[in-house]
Amino acid sequence: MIHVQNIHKTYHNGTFLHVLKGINLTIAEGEMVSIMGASGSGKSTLLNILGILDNYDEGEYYLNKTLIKNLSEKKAAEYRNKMIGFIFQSFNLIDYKNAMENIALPLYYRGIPHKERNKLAMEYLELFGLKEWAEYMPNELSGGQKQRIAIARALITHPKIVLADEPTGALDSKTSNEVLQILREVNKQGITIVMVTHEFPIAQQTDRIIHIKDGIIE
Amino acid sequence: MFDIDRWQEIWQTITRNRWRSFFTTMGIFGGIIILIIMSGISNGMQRIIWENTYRTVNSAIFYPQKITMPYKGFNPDRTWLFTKDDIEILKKNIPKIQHITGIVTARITTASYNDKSGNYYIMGFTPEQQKIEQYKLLYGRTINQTDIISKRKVCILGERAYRELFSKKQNPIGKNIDLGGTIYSVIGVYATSSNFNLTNTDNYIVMPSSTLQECYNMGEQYNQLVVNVNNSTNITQIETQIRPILFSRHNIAPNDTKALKIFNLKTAIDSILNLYSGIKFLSWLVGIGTLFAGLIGISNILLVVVKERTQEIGIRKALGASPFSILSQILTESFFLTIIAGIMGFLAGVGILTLIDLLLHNSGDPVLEKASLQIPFITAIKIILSISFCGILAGMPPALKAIHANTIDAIREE
Repeated sequence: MIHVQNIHKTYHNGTFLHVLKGINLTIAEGEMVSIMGASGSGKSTLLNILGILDNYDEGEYYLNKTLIKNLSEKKAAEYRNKMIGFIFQSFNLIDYKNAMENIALPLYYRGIPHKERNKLAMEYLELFGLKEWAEYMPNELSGGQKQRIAIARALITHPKIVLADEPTGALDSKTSNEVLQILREVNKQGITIVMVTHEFPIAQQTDRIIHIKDGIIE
Repeated sequence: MFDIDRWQEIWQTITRNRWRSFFTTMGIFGGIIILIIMSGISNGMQRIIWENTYRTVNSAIFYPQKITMPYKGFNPDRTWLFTKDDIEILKKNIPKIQHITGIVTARITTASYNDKSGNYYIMGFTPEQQKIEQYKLLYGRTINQTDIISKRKVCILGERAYRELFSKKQNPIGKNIDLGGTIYSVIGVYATSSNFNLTNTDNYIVMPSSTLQECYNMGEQYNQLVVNVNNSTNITQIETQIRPILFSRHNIAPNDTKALKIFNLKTAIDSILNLYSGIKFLSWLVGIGTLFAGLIGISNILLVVVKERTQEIGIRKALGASPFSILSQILTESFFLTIIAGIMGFLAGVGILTLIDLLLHNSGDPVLEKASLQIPFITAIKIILSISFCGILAGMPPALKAIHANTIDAIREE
């Protein structure tokens, strides 16, 4: 599903910062892997590249057998919308949209009409047991509820892979486990999950742990 | 293409971020309100000056001179005066003439009141004279038709005569003055003449033209001719039409240019035009200054707004929004807000101008009463559009920066 070959990335803001120094990585379809590493190790840069949010300087990245390289911004946005679902540590719901509207937002960028979007969002809310909270604003919801909504938002486009950036970082251990259970369920339905985390117990529950240090996979 | 979904998204962003929208709008609102008021006032000032000067300025005065050439058997060195018939015929033949009248002049005469006296020029006016020159009066009234018909022994004092014959603030109306041995009743006092008067009344005592004509036994003749045309007519053009008519009626050689002296206030017109462009330039300067200040305000607000939205921009990007769609959404939002603010500022500004207008109309001042401080609709539209456009232009760089930032880091930032 994901095939990364010898990827290099250097940032040039004032100074040169060689962040990724030849990453090689293959993740099979339906796998659930976690990426671990200290801050500054290149985790977030790798996540940016895997999520088609940033370009890389050297190497090749295949996502679902498609070469992702030097895409136009428009094409990149289209691939993100179609193939990737994002989950973030701080949930990152849009605070002036209610639960249902947050879940429906990716479909807006796919050009799906308002009514249909909300209908689909309601189905996902029901699936996650949050039907009664459809009209609630994010600040009226608990952390667990917010993360479930964020997961629903990531899944509504039927992505090939889900990229999760510290999905349990802001949750207590009980809620963390619940969220992890949901991710497991999602994974069972054949969606590849790549999760960045620094909590070893969480990482241990995935199929495979990838350690990254100083821009190289160990 | 109009896309309901897109507008719903924009509307939601605006209405659910009330404070942000409010402050953005207020900044622009303030800028536009000030601009509208400033340009309204400067427009009004221009109009006040124009209306109070142009009418009298667009006039010419004709003085008959000694004829220098023989013509049709007539000798040179004749003198001539304008007749009542001249005036009637010119009026009939040149429809562009708005007002035309004659002035009778007399030699310096001694006037006295009680123990005070002085020497003054004497002039005879018709009621038309006031329509052309619009002299301001300190007391009383000007010559009317009854004065002319009954050849009344009444007079209007010029500024100097009033000052020298009467004590300060004394009301001279109805007082009798001795003018060269005859008693005249004072019916009015002229205020100091302006530079825009063809005939300055300051050193004169004015009486009805018919009274003076009788005094000097000169029949219905006049020493000067005053012609006034409307604003859209060129006075010098009318002068060239008047000259041949007068010359043929008085048997003067067409090329005897010395026989008629014409004077108009071309220089005064030019000085008004200069004053005009001065005011225009000043209001432009103030306008541009205000616009600039307003723009900086708007740019600041948009900069803060976009910075605040960096995270949201990152999320939208991750969810599959193309940079273009994000940029166009932000710009449409700002444009929408600025237009709303512009219209509000426009309405408020015009409201304030109307209020000032109302106050001026009830002020009792003859000049300010007629003032109108409004701006052309097109100018208002230009102001609103330029302020909106520039504001958005200013918001663009921070928006672009936010879009091209490292998305994951932008999203992680709390």
